[in-house]
Amino acid sequence: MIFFIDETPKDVPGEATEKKEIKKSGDSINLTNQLEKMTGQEIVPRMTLTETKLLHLWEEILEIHDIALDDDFFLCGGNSLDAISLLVRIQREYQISLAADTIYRYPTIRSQASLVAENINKLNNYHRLIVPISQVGRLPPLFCVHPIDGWIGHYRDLSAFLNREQPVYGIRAQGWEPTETPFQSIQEAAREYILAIKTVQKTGPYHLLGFSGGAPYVYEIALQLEKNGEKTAFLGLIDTSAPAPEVQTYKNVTRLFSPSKQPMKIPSVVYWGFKRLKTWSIAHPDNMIYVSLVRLIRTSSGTLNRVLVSESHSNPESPVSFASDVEESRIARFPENQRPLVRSIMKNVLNYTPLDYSGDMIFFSTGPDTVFHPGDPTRGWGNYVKGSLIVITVPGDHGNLFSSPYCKILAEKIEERLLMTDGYQ
Amino acid sequence: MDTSKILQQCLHHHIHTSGSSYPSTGSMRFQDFSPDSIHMWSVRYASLDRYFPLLSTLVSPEEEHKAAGFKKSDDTRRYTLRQGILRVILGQYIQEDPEKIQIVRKKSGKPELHLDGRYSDVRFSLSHTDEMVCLGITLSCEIGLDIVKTNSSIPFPEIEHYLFTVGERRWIEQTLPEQRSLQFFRIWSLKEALLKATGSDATMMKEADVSGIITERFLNGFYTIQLGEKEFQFFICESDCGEGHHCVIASCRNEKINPEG
Repeated sequence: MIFFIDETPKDVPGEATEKKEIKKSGDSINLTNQLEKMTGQEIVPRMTLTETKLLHLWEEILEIHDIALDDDFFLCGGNSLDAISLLVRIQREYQISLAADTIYRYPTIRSQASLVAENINKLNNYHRLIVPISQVGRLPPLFCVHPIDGWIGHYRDLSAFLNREQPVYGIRAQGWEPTETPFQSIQEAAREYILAIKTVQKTGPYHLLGFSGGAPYVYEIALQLEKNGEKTAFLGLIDTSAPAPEVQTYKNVTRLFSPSKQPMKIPSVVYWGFKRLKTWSIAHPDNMIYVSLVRLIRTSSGTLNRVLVSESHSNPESPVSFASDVEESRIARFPENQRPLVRSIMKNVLNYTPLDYSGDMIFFSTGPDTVFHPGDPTRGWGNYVKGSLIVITVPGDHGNLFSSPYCKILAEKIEERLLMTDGYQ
Repeated sequence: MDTSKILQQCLHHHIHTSGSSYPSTGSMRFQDFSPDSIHMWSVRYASLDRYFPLLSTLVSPEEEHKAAGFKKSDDTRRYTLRQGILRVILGQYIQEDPEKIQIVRKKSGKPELHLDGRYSDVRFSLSHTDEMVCLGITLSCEIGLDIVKTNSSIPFPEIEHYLFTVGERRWIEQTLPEQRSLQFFRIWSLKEALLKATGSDATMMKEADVSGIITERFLNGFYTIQLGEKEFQFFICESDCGEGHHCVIASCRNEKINPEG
């Protein structure tokens, strides 16, 4: 006969424990030995589900069994690569964000389970899309929305250079988990993201940041908050041009000629043509003929949209997309299991048409958009932002902005602007 | 005790200087040690096994205690072998009996040769896999060495995402698919070596951006790398030190060694 005794609960409140035999170790040895002597029967301590899960992860990574709760990961044969493998597995399993030296500081299953429980306790109060990056600090939280890859990794890099008193929360994409369905439009996502934000900060003013594909999402969040009568104290967009209204025109025009009334895919030749145009326009940024031509197209495009408009805001039922070869080439650099999500976010961004925003915005730009917004340092955002729009040029390019040394400079510029907003005094 | 036989029979000894690496045949004494060079020793545990009885007598009581704490007997054996062979190699350099060699841990956790205040400028770094152990030795500058097995199965994309910079990830992506796993391990071991050399912890891994120096060819030379607030000048040498293994040595050239550690 086996008795089960509860050890100090280390897990999430209410979490069930699993009856699993483990090797006794540390302080529990004395207690169980005494009880065994008293009863003459074997006592097996009970493990929590988190401890059991962690035990399985250890067993898989270290390829050993017979691990006790207080065994040291490195004395079980783990090396630095194993430690990081374990760390990323724990992060994935529990959707929490941990520092790279966590396994060194918490080398036993018991201490890791306790840390996980602590993080989950905090997370339990948050929406499932919230990924806390830094939860400590007296300043108002900064909410950072995922770029095109759906994850918040860039903001973790950024957070390392921000004020220690600055809490930072990432908002990951729905669809990151295999069981989730990605949102069909930026508007739909923004509605959910606002609910997510409110599980951390109930009322405004809010502080929002979005890089690359995340920029239209934070813009839309600010728009919806404004519509609900709530204030955004800081809306920061990083290195993304405003959507070109020509996409909406293309959508409207092709719908007219499409038998199914669905917009046609953007042909590969158009995409690759724009790629070439980009190379040329970077070499000739001040070509007045090109600048005038873009302005003329933009004006006629606006007029045409007003005539043809059947939907003032993007309609997820009839999205524009790229030809499949273009789409595949754009998502090829992402891991296979991440591609459906990336494809969905790209589609949402391509189909997004912003409405006017009457608040203020800070735009952190690495340089001009010579193709779609030549001669416009706001890269198109000036057409939509009716409050003050400040453009801050930052060094680096779109690809290395979050790498050393540019990330630190970007963080300094963001912090400067945050300090000027409500709640930071 | 004649341990020179072990060195001759089992270990590979290479000398790395900027632009060249060659097997050593000459002197193994610090008096003849060129300040610009790094000596690297590598050995497979399998070839040391028969010397276990001898090597196990060389470890300190603390090391014996640590060895006993390993979960797997293989880990205990490997730990004992590498601590023993470390003393044999260092003993050759200073012409002392290996059992007289004392290794102490500095505040930073780095090991240091302790011999009545002598040889305080000697720096070494030990790294191992479950098959091999590698040792790098240099004078007057901090050193970090890392060896990895390039056939490990690990969650590459997630680790890349977590610890590699955008530039490093891009560099891996632009290489041929069959090369990517090796490139991952090259960057990983390079970063590990840099962190060891500077006494930094794992949280600095993403800070050590090597995307600006990594090339298709193995690195061998002087490189400048920004690590956090500081710019470091490193002598870096990569080598393929055995089937399925990759090794990187980095020695920090603009940082004077810190005896307090």
